[in-house]
Amino acid sequence: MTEAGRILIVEDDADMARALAEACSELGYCPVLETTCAAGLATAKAGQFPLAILDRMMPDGDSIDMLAELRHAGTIGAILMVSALAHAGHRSHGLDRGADDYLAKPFAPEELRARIRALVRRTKAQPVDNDFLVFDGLEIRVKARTVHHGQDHIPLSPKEFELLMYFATHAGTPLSRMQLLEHVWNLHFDPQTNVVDVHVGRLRRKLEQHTNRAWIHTARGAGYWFGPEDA
Amino acid sequence: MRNGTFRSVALVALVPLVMAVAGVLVLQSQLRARLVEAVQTRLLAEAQGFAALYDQRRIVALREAIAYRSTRGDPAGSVYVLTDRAGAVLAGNLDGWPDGIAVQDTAQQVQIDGRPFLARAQDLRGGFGLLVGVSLLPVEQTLAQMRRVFAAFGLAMLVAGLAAAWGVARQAQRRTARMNAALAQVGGAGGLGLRMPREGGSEHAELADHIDAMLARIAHLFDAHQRLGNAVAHEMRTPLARIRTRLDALDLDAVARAGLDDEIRATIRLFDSLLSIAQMDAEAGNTTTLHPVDLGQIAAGIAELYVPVAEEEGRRITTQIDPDTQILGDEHLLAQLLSNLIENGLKYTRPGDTIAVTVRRDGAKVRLRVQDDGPGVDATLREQLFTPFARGFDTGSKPGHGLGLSLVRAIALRHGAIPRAPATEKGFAIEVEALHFSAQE
Repeated sequence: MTEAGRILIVEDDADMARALAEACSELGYCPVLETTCAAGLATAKAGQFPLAILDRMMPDGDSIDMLAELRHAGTIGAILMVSALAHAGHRSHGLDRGADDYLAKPFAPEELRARIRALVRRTKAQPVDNDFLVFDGLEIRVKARTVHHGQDHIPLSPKEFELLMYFATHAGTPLSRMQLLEHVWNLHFDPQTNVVDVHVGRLRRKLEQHTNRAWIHTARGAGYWFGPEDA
Repeated sequence: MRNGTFRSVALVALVPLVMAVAGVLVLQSQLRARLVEAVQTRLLAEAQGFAALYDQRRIVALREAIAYRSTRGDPAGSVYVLTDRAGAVLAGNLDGWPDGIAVQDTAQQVQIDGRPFLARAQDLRGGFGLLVGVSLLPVEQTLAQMRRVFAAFGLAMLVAGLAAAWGVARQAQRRTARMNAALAQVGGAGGLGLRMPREGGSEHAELADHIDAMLARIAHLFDAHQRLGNAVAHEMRTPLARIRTRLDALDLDAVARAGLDDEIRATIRLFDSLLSIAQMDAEAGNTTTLHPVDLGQIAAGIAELYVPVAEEEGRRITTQIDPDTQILGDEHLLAQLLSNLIENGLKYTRPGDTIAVTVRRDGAKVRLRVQDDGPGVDATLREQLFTPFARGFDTGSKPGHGLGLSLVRAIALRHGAIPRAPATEKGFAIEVEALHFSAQE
C-alpha cells in the first residue's frame, strides 16, 4: 500500500476503531490506528495521509484542540471528526475549528463510507479550470448555472442547482441525507421530516422527465448517489 | 455622585456638627449664667457700700460719692440715680428714675435707654431712693464674640467633614463600581472565569473573596453539568453506534432495517434535543458566541426548504419578511428554531391549511411569528407547550418526543428572547421577539 492510500484513525474505543478501520479497508485504504491525541499527532507529522479520522473525546484530551497543529503540519489532506458530541453547536464548532466534516455517532457504516469517499475524493480532485461538467449527455454550466440535456434546457431552482452541483462533484459516491443537509443547506441538525428526500425526489423527477434516464439513485441505508445509469 | 451617596456624605459630615452646636449652646448658657452672677456680686457690693456710706455719713457724702462714681466710675457705663422724697434727682448720671423699675430686694435685668442692665433699686431711710445698675453689655459682647469664633470653627468643621466624607465615599463608590463592572462582565460576555478586582481594605478583599468563591462554585457546577451532558452523549451514543454497526451483520430485510434505523435516529434526536436544551439553558445570556445574523434571511431560507414538503402534504407556506432584521444570534440554532416551528406547523395542520412565516422589524425589535390556520390548541394548554415532554396538541398518531417547543424556548432564551403562544382567532401561533442588532448594547 502506498503512502497516499493510508488513512490515519485516532480513536480510543476498540469497537469503534475496528468499525472505522473496516470501513477504510473496504474502500481500499490502509488504516493506521492511534489511541491517543499525542500519538496521533506524532504519526501525522511523520507521514502523508489523504484523510485523518479523529474521535473527539480522547483519554488525553479533546482532539479538537490538535486541529490547528495538524493543519499546520500540512501532511493531512482532509480531517473527518467523529464524535458523540453532536448537536448543532458541537458540529458547527468542530467545522469552525478546522475539521472538513463532522460525523455524529452513532452513524450507519454506509454513512461513514460515504463521508470517507467524499473527503478523499475531494483531496485528490484536480482544480477544475473550466466551468463545464458533462455526464453522458447531461451538461452542467457552473458559472451560468444552467443544465442541458442535448438541446433541451432543464429549468432548475437555485437550490436544485446547488443540490445537483453537490451530487455532480461527488459523482458515484453515496451521499447521506445529513451530508446533503450540511453541504447544500448548511444545516447541522437532523430534522424530523423527510425534507431531503422530498428535494432529492423533485430533482430526480425533473432530470428523469427531461432525459428519460435515472441520474440519482438510492443507496441502501446510506442515502443517494449520482451518476449516469440507464433507467 | 448619586443621590444616595450624597445623602450619606451629608449625614456623616452634619451629625458631628449638630452635636458640636448643641455643646456650644449648653456652654454658652452656663457661661452667661456665671458672668451674670459675677455682675450681680459686684452690683450687690456697690449697693451695700452706698447704703453703708449713707448710714455713716448721711446724704451729702452719698451724693458726692454717687456724683464721683457717675463721672469717673465704670467705663462700661454703670448707671446711678439718687432721688429725694419727691422723686427729684439729687445725684447720678440719669435724668430721672427710669420707668418700670420698682424697689425690691433682688437684682433685676432691665433695659435702660435700650441697653441691658442688671439693676438694684432700694429705699434709704429718710425717703431717699437709690438705683444702681451695672451694664450687661460686656457680657453680651463676650458671648457674641464667642459665638462668632464657634461659628467660624463650625464652618471649618463642616467643610472638613464634607471633604473627608466625600473622599471616603468616593473611594468606596469607586471600588463598588469596579466590582459592579466585573460582575456585569461575569453576567455578560466575560463568563464565569472572571474574578473580582482586589484593592484596599480588608472588608473589600473579603467580599471579593466571597464573590470569587461563589463564582468558582458556579463555574464548577456549570462544568460538571457540561461534563455530565457530554459524558451522557458519549456513553449513550457509542453503544447505539455499536448496535447500528452490528445490525449490518444481521440478515435483515430492508424494511425491518429501515424501521430500526428510524428508531435509532429518533432516539439520537431525543438526546440531541435534551443536550441542546441543557447546554443552551446554561449559556442563556452569554453573547460571546453570537454574531450579527439576519433573522429574516434565515427564516426565508428555512421556509424555502420546507415549501416542497408542504406542497407534497397539501399545505401552503407563505413568507412575509421585512428588510434589515439583523439580530445578535447563532445562525445554526436559529435555523433549528425555525425548522422546529415550521415542522410543528406541518405536523398539526390539515391538508389545505396555511403556515405563515413573518419576520417584522418594529423599531428596536425584530418579531418572528409562525402562524397556522389549523385546529389550534386549547387555551389552557397553550402555556405548557414549552415545557419538556408536554404535548398540548392532539398527538394521537403524530411522531415526535414533545421537545420541539422546549428546544424553541431554549434557543429563544439563548438569544435573550422569550417565545409566546399568543391567542389567535384561528389556528396556532408562536411569536419570538428579539432586539434588533443596532439596539444591542
